[in-house]
Amino acid sequence: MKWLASWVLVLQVAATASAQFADNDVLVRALQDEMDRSLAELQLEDGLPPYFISYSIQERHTSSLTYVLGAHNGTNSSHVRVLAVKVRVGSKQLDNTNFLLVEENPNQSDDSGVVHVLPLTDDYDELRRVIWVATDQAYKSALAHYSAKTSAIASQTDVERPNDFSDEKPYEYVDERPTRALELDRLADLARQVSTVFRGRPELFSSYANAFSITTRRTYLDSESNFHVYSTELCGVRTHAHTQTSTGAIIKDGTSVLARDCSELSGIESLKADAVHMAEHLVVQREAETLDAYTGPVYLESQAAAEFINQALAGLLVAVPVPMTGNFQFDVQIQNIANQFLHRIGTRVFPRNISVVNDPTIDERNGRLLLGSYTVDSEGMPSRRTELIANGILKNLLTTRSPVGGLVVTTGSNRGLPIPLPGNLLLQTDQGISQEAIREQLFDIARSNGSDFAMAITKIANTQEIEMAHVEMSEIVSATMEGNIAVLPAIHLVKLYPDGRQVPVQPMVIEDFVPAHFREIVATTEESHQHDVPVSPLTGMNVLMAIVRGPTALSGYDQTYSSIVTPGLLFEDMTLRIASGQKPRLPIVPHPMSSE
Amino acid sequence: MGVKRLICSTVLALIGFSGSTIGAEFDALDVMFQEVQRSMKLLKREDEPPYYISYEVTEDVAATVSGAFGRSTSENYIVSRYLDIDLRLGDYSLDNTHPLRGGLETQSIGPSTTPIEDEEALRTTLWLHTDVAYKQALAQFTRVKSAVQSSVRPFFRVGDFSKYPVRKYSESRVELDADLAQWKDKIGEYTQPFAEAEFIQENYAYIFGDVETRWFVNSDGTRVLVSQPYYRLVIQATSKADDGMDLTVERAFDASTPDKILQDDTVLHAVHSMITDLQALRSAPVVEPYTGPAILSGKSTGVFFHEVLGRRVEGHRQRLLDEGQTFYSQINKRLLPRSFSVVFDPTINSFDGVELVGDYKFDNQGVEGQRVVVVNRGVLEGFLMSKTPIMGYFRSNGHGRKNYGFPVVSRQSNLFVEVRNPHTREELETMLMDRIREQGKPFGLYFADVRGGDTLTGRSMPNAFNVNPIMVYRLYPDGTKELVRGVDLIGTPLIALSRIEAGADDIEVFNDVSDAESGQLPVSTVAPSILISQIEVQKTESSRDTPPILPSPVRHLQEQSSPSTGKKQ
Repeated sequence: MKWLASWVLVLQVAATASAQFADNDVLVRALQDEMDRSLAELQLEDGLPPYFISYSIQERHTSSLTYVLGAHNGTNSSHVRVLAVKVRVGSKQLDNTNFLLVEENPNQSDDSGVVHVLPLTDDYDELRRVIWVATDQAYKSALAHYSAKTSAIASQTDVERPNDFSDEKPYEYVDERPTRALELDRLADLARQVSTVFRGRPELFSSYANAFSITTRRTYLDSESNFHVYSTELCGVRTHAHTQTSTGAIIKDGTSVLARDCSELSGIESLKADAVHMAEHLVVQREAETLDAYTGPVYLESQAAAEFINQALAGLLVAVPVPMTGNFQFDVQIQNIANQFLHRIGTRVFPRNISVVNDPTIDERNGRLLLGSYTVDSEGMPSRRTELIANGILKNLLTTRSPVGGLVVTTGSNRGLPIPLPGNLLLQTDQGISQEAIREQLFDIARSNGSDFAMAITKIANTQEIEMAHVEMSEIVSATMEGNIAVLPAIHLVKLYPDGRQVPVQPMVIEDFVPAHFREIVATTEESHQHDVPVSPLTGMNVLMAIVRGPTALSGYDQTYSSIVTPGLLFEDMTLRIASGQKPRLPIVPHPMSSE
Repeated sequence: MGVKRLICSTVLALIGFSGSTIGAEFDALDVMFQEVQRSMKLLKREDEPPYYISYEVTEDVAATVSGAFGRSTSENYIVSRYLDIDLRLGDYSLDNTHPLRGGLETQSIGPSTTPIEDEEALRTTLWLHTDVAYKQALAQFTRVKSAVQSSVRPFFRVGDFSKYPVRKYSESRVELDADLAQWKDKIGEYTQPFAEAEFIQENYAYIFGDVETRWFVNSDGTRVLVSQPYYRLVIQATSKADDGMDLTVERAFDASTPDKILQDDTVLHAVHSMITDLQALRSAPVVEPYTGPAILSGKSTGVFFHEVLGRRVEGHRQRLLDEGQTFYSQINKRLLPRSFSVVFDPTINSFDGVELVGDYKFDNQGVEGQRVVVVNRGVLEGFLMSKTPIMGYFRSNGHGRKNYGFPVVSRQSNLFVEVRNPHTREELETMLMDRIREQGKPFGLYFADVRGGDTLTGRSMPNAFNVNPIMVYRLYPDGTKELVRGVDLIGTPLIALSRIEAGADDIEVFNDVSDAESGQLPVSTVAPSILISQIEVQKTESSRDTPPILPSPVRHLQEQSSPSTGKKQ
C-alpha cells in the first residue's frame, strides 16, 4: 500500500532511531534514560546485574457498547497506559526465565514481567518515577527466580537444556500513522441498528449486538537496541443469540465483523444481513435432525475449514517454551504434550499437495485487509514469512526468543502471550478442485462406505462469537490432556445427499482426532476462505499452556488476531458425535412476545 | 468532542428514556410488574408454583478518573444495567432459600445484564431469567425439603420470609455530573504535593462518580424507583520505614454532588497533613503487643462499633447455623454503659453539615429505610432486619441491602453512637490517666485515625475483630504524647464492649464502603470519642520488601534522596 510509505519508517541500523526519537518523545526519553541508569547501576550487593531489560508500553483507548433488541444494555469506555518491564539476570545460556516458582500464583509466571500504570500525560519526571519503581521490582523478582532456578537445576541429573534467550539482530521500526477510532455515537448506532434485527423473533431466547473500537499505541525498547513505536486500530460488531431445540439442547450462534482500519468496517446493511442470516439459521436449527454419531467423509467448508485449522493445527505449529517447575518428571510430560510436532520436523504430516506458511508480512488478500498482519512482534523482532509445511513435510515451527529444542532463532512470533502465535496462516495447494468435484468425491467415499449421505460442516463454534459453557471448555481441556486434538462443536452442519438435498443437523463435535488424521485430507477446493480469529489461549494445545504458564503481563490489554486462509477440506474419515452440552427443560412460560 | 460533552451526550442519547428510538414511551415499573404477574399466573400450573417473585434492575452510570503524583493515569466510564430476581417456592414458613449447613441458599441468580428502556427488550430479558430462576429455585427447594425431612430437629421455626405492606414510590432519575477534564485537573492538583516528597513511594487517588438507579417490583404489588448519586474522592499515600514497614495513610471525601468533594482548601489541607503524618510515622517507634486503657477518636469509635457490634446485630447472622450468633442470647441484656445507645438510621443524610452515605429511601426488598434502635440505654433491644425473619423479629425494618448480583442480607446503614450526658474530651483524658495509674501501666493509647477494619462472625474461627489504625499515640501520665506505628486493635466482641466506660461530646463522621456477603455498600458512622478501660493491640502485618535500590530519578528529589543499598553508586 503506497499510501503507507509516507507514514512508515523502517530502520534496520541499530541504535539510531530510538535515540533520534527520544529527542522529541518524552516517553521514549524517559524509558531510555532509566534503562541506561539501570544497566549501569542497578545491582544488589550480592546479586547479579541485569543483562537484559525491556520496556513495553501500550496506551489504549477502548469503547464498547451493547444493545439488546434495539435497547441500550451497557457501555464501557476507558483510556489507560500500561508499562510492562522484563529484566533478565544471568546469561542467555541460563537466566531467570523459563522457570515457574510453583508456590507462586500460577498467573505470575517468570516471563510475565512487572506491570505498572503510567501517567497519561508525557511528564518526564513522573514517567521516570514509575519506570524506576517497576524496574526495581522486576530486577528483584528476576534475582529470586534465578536463585530458585539454579537451585532446582543443581538438584537434577544433568539434562541438556536449550539456551534461555536467543541471539538476534536488533530491529527498529517506527510507524506514526494516526489511528481513527469510532466515536461512541457511531458505535451506539451500529449496535442499536444491528440488534433490532432480532426484534419480533420470539423463537430466539436471547440476543445482543456489541460494537467496539480499540486504538493502541505501542512503544517498545530494550537493552539490545530493539525499538519500535506504532499504533493499531480495531473496530468490530459482534452479535450473539441463543435458543433451544425441541429436545432442550441449547444452541448458540454469533457473527463478528472486524476491521483493522475502522473506516473499512462493513456498512450497516451488510452487518444487519449477517445478523438476519444467523437468526434465521438458528430458527432452522431448532428443528434440525438429531444425529447421535457419524463416521465417514466430512467436508469442512469456508469458516469451518478455517476455524478447524485455527483450533486443531495452529497449536501444533508452534514451539512452546515449557517452563521448568523443578519437578523433572512433570516437566518432561508437559513438554511432550505441549510440543507434539517438535520431533516430527522433517517428516510428513500433511498430504503431499498441501503446504502451510505463516506470513504476517502480507497486508491484504483479494482487497481485504488481513487482521493477522504485523511488522514487529512483542519482543521487538521483525515479522517474517516462515515455511512450516512444504508439500506435506513439516519444516519448521513458530518460535519466540525462547529457544525450544533445536529451534534457536525466533520467527518473530511473540504476540504477547507466553507461546508463539501465527499471524497470517496460509494453507496452500496447487491441486484444488471445484465445489462440484469435491461433492462428487464426497459422495463416492460415502457410497463406498455404504452410506447414502455425507456430512458437510460450514461453521465451527469459536470463543469470539459464542459464549461457551464451562462444560464445553472443560471437555476441550480433558481431550487435550488425553492427547487428542479438541475443537469446539460444529454448529452449522448438514447431511448432504447425492440428489442435492441438505438436511440440517444439530450441533456435533469432532471426536478422536489426532495429528495423523491431517494426512487423510483427500481433496481441497480451488477457492480459499479468509477467517480472522482472536489469538486466544483457549484453542488447541494453547489450553494446556495457558493453564501451566498463565497469561503474560500485557495479554489482558492486548487485542491480537490471526488470519487463517484455507481452501475447503475434504477428510476421508472423521468421527462426529452429538454435542453433549446442557439440555434444560424448555421455558415454562411462553415468550412474552409470542402469540401463545 | 470534549470529554464532558461526550459523557453528557452519551448519558442523554444512549441511556436516557427520552432518547429511545425503539418502541413507545413506557413505564418500566409497569412492564416489570405485568411480567411478574404473568409469571406468577402461568407458573401456578406447576407442581411447585412460586409464592413470591421480585425483580430489581440496577443501573449504574459511573465515571472514574485516577492518578498519582500529580498526573492522571486512567479514566473510565461505564453504564451497566443488571437484573436480580428473587423467586421463592414453598411458602413463608419454608422456602427454597432456607439455610442449609454450609451457608445461605442463593436467593439471586444474577446478575444478568438487562435493557430498561424498551418494552420488548425488557420483557424478553425478564421472561428468560425468570425461567432460569424458577428452575434453580426448584432444585434448591428439593434440597431444602430433603434436608429438613432428614434433620433430627428443624433448623428454625420462624419461617424463611415475611410479608410487608405494599409500597409505591417513584422519583426522577438523577443524571451523573462528571466533568472528566475537570476531574483530571483536580487529581493532578491534589496529588502533586506527594510528588514533592521523596519519602513517599506510592501514591494513588481517584475521583469516582456513580448514579445508582433501581427499579423494584414484587408480586405483592410493591413498585419502587429510586435514583441516588454518590461521589467519592480517595487519596492514598505510602511510605516505608527504614525497617521495611509499609506506612499508608488515606483520606476519603464523600458527597452527593461532585463540588462537595472537590473543595480545594479542604482536600489540600488533608493532603498536606497526610504528608506530615507519613513523615512523622517513619520515625515513630514500633509498638509491642500491649493491653491497657485507651481512648478512641470519633472515627475510630465508629469503625470499632461497625465491626464489633454492627456486624453482629445483622439479623441474618442470628439464623445461619455457621454463625457465632454472639448477641442472639443477649437480647434485653446490658451490653454497654447505661448512657450509651446505638441507632441505625438510613433516613438521615447529613450530620452537622457532613453528608452521610449510608442513607437510602428504600432497601433492596422494597421496604422503606427505617430508624432502628439496636441498643437503648445500654440494653440490646433489636437487630437489623431484612424480610428474612428471626425468632422474635418477624418484620423487616428496611435493612435488606445488597449490591447487584448478590443475595439480600441485613446490612448496616448510618450507625449513630449516642451518649447521654457526655464528658468533654479533657474529662475523658483525665479519666484515662486515672486508669493508667490504677492499672499500673506506663501509658495509655489514643487511636486518632483509622483506615477500616474487619471481623470474623462465624463459629469455625475465633469470633474476633481487627481495627486498622493509621495514627496511634502513647499518652503518658505526665501528659506527653508520642506517635507510634505498627499496631492493630484486636479483641473479642463481648469483652471489648464490656470495657467501654464513657463517651465524649466530640462527634465525628466516618464514611466508608463496607464489604460483606451481599457486596460493597456505602455506610456511615457518627460517633464520639470513647474511653475503654482495656484494649489489646497486636503487631500489624508488615511488608518485607526493601526500598528501591537506586535513588529516585526525579531531578528535584535527588538531593533529598538517601544513598542506595546497591553496590554501584
